Amino acid sequence: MKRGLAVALGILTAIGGFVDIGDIVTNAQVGSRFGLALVWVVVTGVAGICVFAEMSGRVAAVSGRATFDVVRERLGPRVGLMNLVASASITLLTFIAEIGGVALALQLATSINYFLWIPLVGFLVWVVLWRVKFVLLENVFGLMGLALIAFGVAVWQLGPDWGDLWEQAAQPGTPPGESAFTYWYYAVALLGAAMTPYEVFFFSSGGVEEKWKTRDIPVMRANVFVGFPLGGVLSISIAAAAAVVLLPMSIQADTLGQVALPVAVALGKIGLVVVLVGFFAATFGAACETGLSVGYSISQYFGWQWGKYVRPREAARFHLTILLGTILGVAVLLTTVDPIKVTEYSVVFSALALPLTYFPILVVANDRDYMGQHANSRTANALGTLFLFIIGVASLAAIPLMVVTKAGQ
Amino acid sequence: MVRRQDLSGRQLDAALQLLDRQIVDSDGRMVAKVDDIELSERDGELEVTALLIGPGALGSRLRGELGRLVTSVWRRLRTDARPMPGRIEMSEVVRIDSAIHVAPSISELESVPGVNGYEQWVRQHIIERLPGASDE
Repeated sequence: MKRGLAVALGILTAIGGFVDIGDIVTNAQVGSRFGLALVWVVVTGVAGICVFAEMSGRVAAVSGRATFDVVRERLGPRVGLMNLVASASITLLTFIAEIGGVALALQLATSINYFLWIPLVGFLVWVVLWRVKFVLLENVFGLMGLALIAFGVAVWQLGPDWGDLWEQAAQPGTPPGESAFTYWYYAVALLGAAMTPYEVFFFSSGGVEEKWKTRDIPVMRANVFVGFPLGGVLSISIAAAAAVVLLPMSIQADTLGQVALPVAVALGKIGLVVVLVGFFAATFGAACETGLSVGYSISQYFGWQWGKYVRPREAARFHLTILLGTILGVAVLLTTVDPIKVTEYSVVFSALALPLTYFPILVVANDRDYMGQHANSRTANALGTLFLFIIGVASLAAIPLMVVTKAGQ
Repeated sequence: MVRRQDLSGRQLDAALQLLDRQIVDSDGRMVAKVDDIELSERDGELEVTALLIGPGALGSRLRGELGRLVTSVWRRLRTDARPMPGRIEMSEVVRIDSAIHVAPSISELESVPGVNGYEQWVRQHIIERLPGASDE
């Protein structure tokens, strides 16, 4: 019974914790411009993150080593360092976007300008990362993030033409007024949003934080294979809500307010309140995850003690990294850069860096020295290779598409 | 610095097993990465005598401009005339699996000059001055 509850809790937090500012913004933008014509990318991305999160979780459970620890061991110090610089910069960019997202959600709720919220949000994120226990942090924001189900309820309440929605999703095509380039640009962005590299850093490091052992592998798999796809359904419902309300009115979702608009239309004030709670939880939770992930990846490369399972003084450089990252993030946002723009760039640059993160995981998960009988099965390898090919293509296409479409305009 | 031609195949394999692996102490606390290894000649055979850690060891393995930069910055930050990288004797290694397990605790290891100096500096001057640094 107790174990059943633990599994259920794990799955629920995996669902609520799956969505972050990148998923929210990108799905709403895509829904408002292309309807459901890009749902297949979300499905692909979620399948991809499942395959690789399972591998990195398995490596963590069997060896007790998190992703970046093994990245350096496999790639050596020089290539490992280049990988670290790229991955940590993109995670930092995502961290900045998440802090901005929290501030925007608070602005929507309070009408107080988000610049006033930014320093406070930065401080709160740091306090949580300094003081709050890992498990508590994961559970609270994961469960609160489930409030985003309001998007699904809104779509249902709006009573759309389901046949039409199904056709948009099943027979994807470029809608009138959009070029094939923008279509593929947003395909890459959606893939980057769904497969953001920090998710595997966080997932594998979280496994070490929670001291997973080989016997925890089934629970880990349940979280990944049930929780993540349901989290993906939340993402799709954001796109569907935008497709039903914003697309016919030709509103492009450029602000968080416009993203929430379909729910306000369908469910009124109560719905709006629930969505704002969801926005806050999803972005604040992801801000904690990305902030930790910056510290995790850098500490793991250099071999410093890291993690929230020890007292802060025992992981001094890890906590200093998080503190400096938070200060830098707040400083960047106070330059008046638009957090939504930061989010858009963060997902495309994530797509660019995907192979850097995922290739070493595939290599290590195959290492029998490390993994023994828990090394990758043929199926895992076939899927891993397939997704590595897909993200390789997306990575190569990311920058050219960004230039050609002027970042999706 | 490990050079291929100095080592027989078996020894090279052993050395590669150690490089870039995580060192953990008797309680499972993370100490450092093996940034380089020290080889000594005994009876005409090379053997690994110590694990070298810190920027002073990592710099030479990064090679090129970047490596030189890391090494010279590290040298500048040290007060001793001929700074040596932090070392952990090979005799203190008790087990090697996905990590390298050493017998001493991290506080015993850190009492040796050159081992985790930056960690100790950051702990003393920044982290311990913040409220709650020693709370569970």
